[in-house]
Amino acid sequence: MMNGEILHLECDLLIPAAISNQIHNGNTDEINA
Amino acid sequence: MDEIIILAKMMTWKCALVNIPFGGAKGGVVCNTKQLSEGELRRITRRFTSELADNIGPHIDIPAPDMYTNEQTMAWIFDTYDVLHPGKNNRPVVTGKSIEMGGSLGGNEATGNGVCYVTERFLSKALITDSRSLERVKVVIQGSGNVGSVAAMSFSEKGAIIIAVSDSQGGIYCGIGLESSELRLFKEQHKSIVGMPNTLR
Repeated sequence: MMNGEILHLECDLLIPAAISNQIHNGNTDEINA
Repeated sequence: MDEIIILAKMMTWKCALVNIPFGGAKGGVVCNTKQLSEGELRRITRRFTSELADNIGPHIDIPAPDMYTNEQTMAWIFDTYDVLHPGKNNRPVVTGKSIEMGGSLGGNEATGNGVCYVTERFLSKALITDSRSLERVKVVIQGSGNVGSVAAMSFSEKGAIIIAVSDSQGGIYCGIGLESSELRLFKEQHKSIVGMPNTLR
């Protein structure tokens, strides 16, 4: 699993604790938190 | 550079909103710290501090550690500044110092724990239906550095289940939950969480 793909996993809480700008217009539809 | 500009803007707002007189700026050096020796990092940090000159100071602007910087980095900044400004108490020139140098207890854990406290408070206000606490809540954490690894510990202590984490090398998943203390130990030993036993990549 690539670092960015973890954002797409189904979960209750997603904590972006790496660098900024990981969630953006291009991937919000793929967020499953 | 964009990253530093964003951080500078955020720092400006954060300090202003809670009325902390730390200014609102960020500085950085574009380099891959993982490919540099300690000696190279020390020389880069010292030269960077010399170039900052009087743009920093206990009563001017106070650098704090961020990505790929730590207590050692802050000690080098303090020491360089101290050499350039002899005869004064220059310890307040940086935050993020070690305890031995006058740093604050809990400083390393502050951001990671803060993530957990804020999330817990948010849930307690019933802003998300059916989730009033962190008990049994499934959590995914992107990042295993100073923030992510501490947040994982904090969430676990509150009863949450950490099902996936990542670092710059990739991510791992375990549907029944990852043990945060084992995560930290594996990362210390292998420099990455990728490859931890009983996890899916």
